[in-house]
Amino acid sequence: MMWLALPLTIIAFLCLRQLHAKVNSPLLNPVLWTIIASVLCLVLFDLDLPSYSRATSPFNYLLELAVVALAVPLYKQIHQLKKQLLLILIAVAVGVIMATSSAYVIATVLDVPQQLKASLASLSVTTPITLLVTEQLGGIGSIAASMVILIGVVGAIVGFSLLRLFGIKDRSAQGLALGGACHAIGTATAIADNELSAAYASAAMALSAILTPLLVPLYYPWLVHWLG
Amino acid sequence: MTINIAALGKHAKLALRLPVSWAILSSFLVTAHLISDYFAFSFPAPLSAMLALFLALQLGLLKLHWLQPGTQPLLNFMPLFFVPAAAKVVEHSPLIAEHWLVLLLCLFLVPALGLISIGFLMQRLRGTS
Repeated sequence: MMWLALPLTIIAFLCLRQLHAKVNSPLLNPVLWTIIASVLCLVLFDLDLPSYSRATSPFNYLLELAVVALAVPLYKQIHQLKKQLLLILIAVAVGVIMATSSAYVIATVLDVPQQLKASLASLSVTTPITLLVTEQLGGIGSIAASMVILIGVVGAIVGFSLLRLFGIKDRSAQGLALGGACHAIGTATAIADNELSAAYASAAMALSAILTPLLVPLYYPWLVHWLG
Repeated sequence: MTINIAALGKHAKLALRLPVSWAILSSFLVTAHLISDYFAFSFPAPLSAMLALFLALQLGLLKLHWLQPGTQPLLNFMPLFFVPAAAKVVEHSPLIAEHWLVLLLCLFLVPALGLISIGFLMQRLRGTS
């Protein structure tokens, strides 16, 4: 029975992606709803989690391969935005630090276990990178991944309005903010809006994929030391 | 029925390029895993492989068109590959139920602060540069 997990996940994702292409609403994000459908199946049919992990293990290899493949869009974006690379690097690095700090402060104030704090330390980066960094910090990858996807949906819904509300009207700055803070789903929103924002959003997403695994494992122990 | 030899050749070339580019990606990944295991690095091997591949492209050791046939479908379907990893969140439902407020606050405040800080900084830096 468990052998069906892999083909059913693929079929559900493809159907939901078709639906999303027709309706085009961030609330109908295909990844989010495939995860919800998978969780519902696991709970309703009381399925064994280790068996589910084994049945879906080919995805682990493909996910790792896809992370390696991220080098290609990164290479392309860096060439396109060479002149402003330093500015973009600074802004994205500040965004990564801001995301880690704000999540850690909230978690510390509300006194959550250290494992959950580690799960919230790298939320402003694309999901496969979050899974790897969270694992490295001793957090729970599945919580981090779900949070990252939900953050993307929130960013897609309120991102542009929030930026305009705070006087951020420059299209390149808007794109960079969406790609840096709301990763792939934010980038998709920028792509749908205008070309300039789209280019900056893609660059920000690619750079945060590089900066997060370099900065967060160094910055997180420092936060733990000073804030507890 | 006539067979278009040129079109056939083009398809065959494309079909050959896919395994070649996947072989390149896999060789970077496997090497990174081997090095990471041997030296007991804590830095994730797929990320080391991504950085190494990026450097190889920058230095001109690899050509973009060797990789693109394989990377395009991988990146296109990447969201699908992390569905099982995220679905395992069900394992931690008691922890989530206990700390739902932290998760809810992070869900709204982390992207809001990230958006405002990156957007504001970029707008200021571009204005003064």
